[in-house]
Amino acid sequence: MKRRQFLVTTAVGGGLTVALSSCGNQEEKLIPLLISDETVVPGAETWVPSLCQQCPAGCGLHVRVMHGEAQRTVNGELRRQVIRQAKKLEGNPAHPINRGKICARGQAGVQTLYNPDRVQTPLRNVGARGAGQFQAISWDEAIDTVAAALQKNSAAAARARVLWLAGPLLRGYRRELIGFFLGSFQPSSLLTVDLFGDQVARRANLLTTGQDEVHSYDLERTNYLISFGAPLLEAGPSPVRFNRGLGSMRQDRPGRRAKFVHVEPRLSLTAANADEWLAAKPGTEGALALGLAHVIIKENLYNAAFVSGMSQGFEEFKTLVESFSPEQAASVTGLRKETIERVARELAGHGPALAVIGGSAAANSKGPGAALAVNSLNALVGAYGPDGAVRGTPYRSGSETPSNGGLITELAEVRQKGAEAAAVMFLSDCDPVHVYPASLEVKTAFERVPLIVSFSSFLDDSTLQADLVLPDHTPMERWVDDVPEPGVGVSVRTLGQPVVKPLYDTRDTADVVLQISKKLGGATATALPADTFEEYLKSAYEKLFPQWKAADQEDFSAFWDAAISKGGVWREESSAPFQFAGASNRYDFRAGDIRSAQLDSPPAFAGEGSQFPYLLQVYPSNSLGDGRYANSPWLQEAADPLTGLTWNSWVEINSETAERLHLTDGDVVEVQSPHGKLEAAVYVYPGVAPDAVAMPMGQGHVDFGRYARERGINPVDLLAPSTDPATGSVSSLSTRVSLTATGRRVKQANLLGVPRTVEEQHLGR
Amino acid sequence: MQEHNEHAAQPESRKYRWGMVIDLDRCTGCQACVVACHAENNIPIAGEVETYRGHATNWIHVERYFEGEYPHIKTRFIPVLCQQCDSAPCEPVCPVYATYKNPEGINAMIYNRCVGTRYCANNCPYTVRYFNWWDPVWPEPLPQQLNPDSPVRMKGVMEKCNFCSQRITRARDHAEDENRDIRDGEIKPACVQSCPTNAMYFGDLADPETEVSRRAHGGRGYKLLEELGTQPRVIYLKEEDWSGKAG
Repeated sequence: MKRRQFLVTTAVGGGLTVALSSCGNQEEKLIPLLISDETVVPGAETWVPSLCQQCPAGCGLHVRVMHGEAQRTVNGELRRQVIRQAKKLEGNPAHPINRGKICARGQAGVQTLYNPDRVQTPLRNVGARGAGQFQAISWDEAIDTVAAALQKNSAAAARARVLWLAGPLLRGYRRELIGFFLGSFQPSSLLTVDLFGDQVARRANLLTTGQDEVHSYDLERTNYLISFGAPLLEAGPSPVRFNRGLGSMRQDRPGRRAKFVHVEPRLSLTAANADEWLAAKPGTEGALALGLAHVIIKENLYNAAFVSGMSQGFEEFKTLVESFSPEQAASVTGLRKETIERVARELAGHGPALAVIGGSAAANSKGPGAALAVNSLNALVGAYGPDGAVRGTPYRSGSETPSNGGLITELAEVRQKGAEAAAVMFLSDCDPVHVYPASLEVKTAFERVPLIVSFSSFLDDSTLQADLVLPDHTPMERWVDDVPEPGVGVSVRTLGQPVVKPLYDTRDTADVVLQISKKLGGATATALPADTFEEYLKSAYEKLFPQWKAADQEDFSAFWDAAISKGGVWREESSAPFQFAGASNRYDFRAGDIRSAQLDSPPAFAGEGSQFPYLLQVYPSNSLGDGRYANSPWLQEAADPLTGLTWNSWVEINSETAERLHLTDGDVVEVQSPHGKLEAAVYVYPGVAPDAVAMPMGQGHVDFGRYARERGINPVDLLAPSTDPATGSVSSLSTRVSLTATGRRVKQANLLGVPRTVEEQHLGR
Repeated sequence: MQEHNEHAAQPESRKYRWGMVIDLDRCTGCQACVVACHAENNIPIAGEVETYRGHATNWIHVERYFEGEYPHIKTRFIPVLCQQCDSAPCEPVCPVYATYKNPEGINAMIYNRCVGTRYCANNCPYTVRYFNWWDPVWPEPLPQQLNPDSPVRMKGVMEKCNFCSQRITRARDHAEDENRDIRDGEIKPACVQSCPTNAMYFGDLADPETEVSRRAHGGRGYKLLEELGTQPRVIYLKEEDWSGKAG
């Protein structure tokens, strides 16, 4: 008997048995199937397009939906019901960003939806901030409280600022809507919280090309990629896209395999996957880029057509790089002169070539200058040209994508002036108290804001400081809309309907914003005529219809339905060439003044070398990122690809350091910087320099649910309060530390092998 | 590569011989396959203490090898899952015949026959068999995610990769409904489906025209610990060097 025949027989038989035995508690079994609250076919799977909201890459999803039984409260009674359940997330095969692929973090999106520690109703903080004493309140009460505070501020003689702190996920029409809402409370600010974001590269792009964007790349055609510190594969702006591109660069063109060179002092996952890893001294990536530029110009290897036709300021740049001879660059970076010359020749000789920057190379005091230098390399090899590897981003509007904001500056002002500087602070999809170094005193700024409203689904470190928690639906419970950035050179707009019914008494934050503005009336309500986000989204799509409709779509409803069933709208026809913007409309070699960045010397770090001998390298964890995925048990138990470690924090030291300090895996050390101290277990790692230590972000939450609570430490709390003044981006490579053995040991949960002593092995300790 | 013998060896009803190709030149060790497998196959979470004790379950895991010292280190990643050996060392040691070679080449487990001797895990040279030391714990509402097509294994039972046999069954049902053969590429185990770099391929090794067969015979193929005579059904493609061709 085949499996299906068996199932059919047993289902019919079983149904009869249940129906015939009318005594006992059989309604528990039968009734869920009769009173199902949605149309579901038992055993059948449906795939619903949606948007991955685990990171800002904006990958398209297909969610596998099946029926399942769950305990539900129906009319005050606890019942078992058959409902739609999200079972598995896969990539949308048609989506241009991820083409059906999905990363580890993306898979875990379903554990955000079904996380056992979600905030289930609106909450009011009834204790001291941070004490975690919350009381459930009604949505009416919550909305009234927020509206009253906003009203009071608007009526006041000296109006204070309304701040909205959002994670990098806030894009598309949702961002536009919140922008309109905030616009009615001048003064107000919409600020982006993103520790490992691409603010520095974005600013360099704006200065040199006029485009305020994270560039789109044509990796599939790229023959030579050099990355300066960019964590492309583990934490970049679009990990699936870069993984996909790297695979394609290597093996999708028979007979032609591209080369990938990565420059970074620590062996990161991206470095481990490079064909050549160049461990330049920390913060000297800019000097290397200018050294490469020196060779390319001196040997006349640059793309003369691009440089003469589409750039300006080349002569000044040429004069500047004269002092960056390979010898000079070698002495600053610690690399060999011959290596620099060879890489420069390879880069210029294997077009389309591309240079990118990110990670620690951008997050240090020389980072902004290095980003300009890296863009200059792209200009020299003609990457911005019509056939270059940098592509245009055809569909983009400023109100829908985050740009650089002065978050740190504004928070500093709040810290000083308190209620005069900020009346209400909203938090959505972000945890600034966790991700920013303690030395920046974000928490102190929070203490001085009269009303903090968090839309978080979890009690994260920032939400613990909030007065009100207005839990958002998780992404699969609401409408989703997005304009991905970076793109892939084609116009993309992602759209998705709610996949499952909300599990709890939560509301879509965009809906709550509309309800608050209704309550306030006046200018706020006029700015936002819609009642729900769905309505807002639909009317926005109506405006897209004439321009985006397909030939066979006669009316809007056909267009709308097609967009929902496809997962958005996009045009595949052709990848658009890069377009310069700004006054000159060409590449500007002079922009940003590279000279003043003084790339000829390494950056200065906080802490005297004699007292603090090791440079601290803080990096985003492959599975937990900056900590926003630490509440997923799958991601807690996913091995760090290089160390194999799970479920906790660690500090990586070189074997030389380990030998000198008599340390081994699992030994707990005190890591101290001029700004703080923490304890973590040692992992002896060959990929970190003898004069450095490295620590992953991800753990060290106060709460954030059972899987994250009080687990490990947060290494950013060791960092100096060092930020880039232009972008507000935090320098994660800024501080030196010392190590002191504590004499204690812990057991490390390592999936790549467990180092054990004989006693542990045989005595079961 | 011994696949050429398979046509002759099989009776007519045994049509498909499933196999996998993993291209190590593409693999970046990103762990997407690992989490995809957890989601698809209801893999239990061990927690920190049990993971330390070596009790974590990962039907697929990515091994990492370093060569050299700072700053000249070469890193290699190898995703390792059950190799579905044609001559599987785990099978003959099972006293209750809970693990056997199914007609399509998959080294299958009958969970409710397993009595937990763990002999099979001891005998597996790839260490890809996992024992349930405890009943799995899924706090509400996490069970809503569990895949109804895959059983939840309880304490005392051995478990392992089965090439997502539930997906194979679904594809076979679809094909039978439409009165046709399963198409090449129609079945994607969860790891293959998610793999961001397209490093993994799955299909019928008995048919020389399928993508897996073509890639397996592309010249870069080898099998893990082949010299043990296990005859694995997973073929790895070795890493390549830069071709150095000018653009």
